[in-house]
Amino acid sequence: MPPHDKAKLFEKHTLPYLDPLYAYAHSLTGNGVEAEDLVQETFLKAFRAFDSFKDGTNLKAWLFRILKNTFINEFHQKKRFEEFGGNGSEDEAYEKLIAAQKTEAAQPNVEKDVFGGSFGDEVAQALDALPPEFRTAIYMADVEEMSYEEIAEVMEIPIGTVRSRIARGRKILQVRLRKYAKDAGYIKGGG
Amino acid sequence: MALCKNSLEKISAYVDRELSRSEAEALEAHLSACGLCRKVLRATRMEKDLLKHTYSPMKAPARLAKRIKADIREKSTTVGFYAYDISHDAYLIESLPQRPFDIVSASIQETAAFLSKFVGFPVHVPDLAYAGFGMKGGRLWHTVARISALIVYEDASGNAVSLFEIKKERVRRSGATEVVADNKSFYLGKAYGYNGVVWLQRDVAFGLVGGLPHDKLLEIARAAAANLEQ
Repeated sequence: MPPHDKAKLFEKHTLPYLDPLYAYAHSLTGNGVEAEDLVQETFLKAFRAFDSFKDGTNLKAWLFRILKNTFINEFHQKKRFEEFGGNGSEDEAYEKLIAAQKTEAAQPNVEKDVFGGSFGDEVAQALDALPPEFRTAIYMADVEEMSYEEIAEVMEIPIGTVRSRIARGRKILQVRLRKYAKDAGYIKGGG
Repeated sequence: MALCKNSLEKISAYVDRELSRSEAEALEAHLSACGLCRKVLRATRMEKDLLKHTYSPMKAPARLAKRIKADIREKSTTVGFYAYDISHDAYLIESLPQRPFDIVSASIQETAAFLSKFVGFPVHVPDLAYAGFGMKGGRLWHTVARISALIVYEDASGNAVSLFEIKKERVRRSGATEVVADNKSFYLGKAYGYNGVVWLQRDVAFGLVGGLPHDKLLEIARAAAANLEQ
């Protein structure tokens, strides 16, 4: 295929996913500037690998997977995973997260008195507490409304793992979101 | 909230409509009897709603599509990926059957003129003598993405480093570990046992690669940058 046609074909098929990929990148990086770079790099990588893409495979899942791997392997440089014991098992990492959250809860929370910033910022902050693998699983279920089977394809993990990651990640997320939800009137009072 | 531990995962899957009919019915029966699990259900639905409403409406800035289209045609890259790429290139060059340099000259001017003519932009050849490195030769290196000039230096103990040069526009400043030294940003990357240090100076993206550790490479990179300032 002439190079020019390849570029056109690629753009035609992939650019419709630009907005969802950008939103997902935003959920990972927590800011627009890095999200743009991450998406840009994802498209460049996808373009380089486009020849190996087989018709009939799930293009959307493929693009999300490239973005996730780019973020974890090169962009994010595994910082968070190392923080939470990336060399250990997922269970260990999860236990550390829960422990970290308990320590945080026991300390006087300065942020509690701080209002301001948009609601989206607060959701982003809450998400930031989760390692990218947990965040991705929840994000795909909530925002992209993917089935667990599709999420398993994006993340290259078994469906059972998808299910447990979503449940465990949500437990952490819900504690963090509680305050914001109250402020926004989602839930009332002491609950 | 640690009660009904088994229900937690069930409730989560229920909200995502991932339970079978019989599982869903069993859970619904439990929910009608358990206030705590109903609370968890509400919190889960709230969280799902929040995420959906935060991210679904998000639109990529219009410039992003333009940047991507330009990228696909020009294949530019971020500085972090460039550091990674040249480390990979250094590995490739080393593992290929030995091929003579495209230019071997003791003259900095002659080497720079030769390489510049082929790559189509002014190549700068720093003098690394006072960092202990002598010039061995120059090479032109083609990858799918670009053409680079590279100059190979070696010290008295046989440690070789390669200095890659491409046009600055091809490299974007983001997504890498940044070290600031001498009021300049240096970016670190590595691949296949090779380390890379990238910096932008004049109109060129310089990438110094070698088997040496990052701190040693950074020292040489700083010497090269200082030499080019003169």
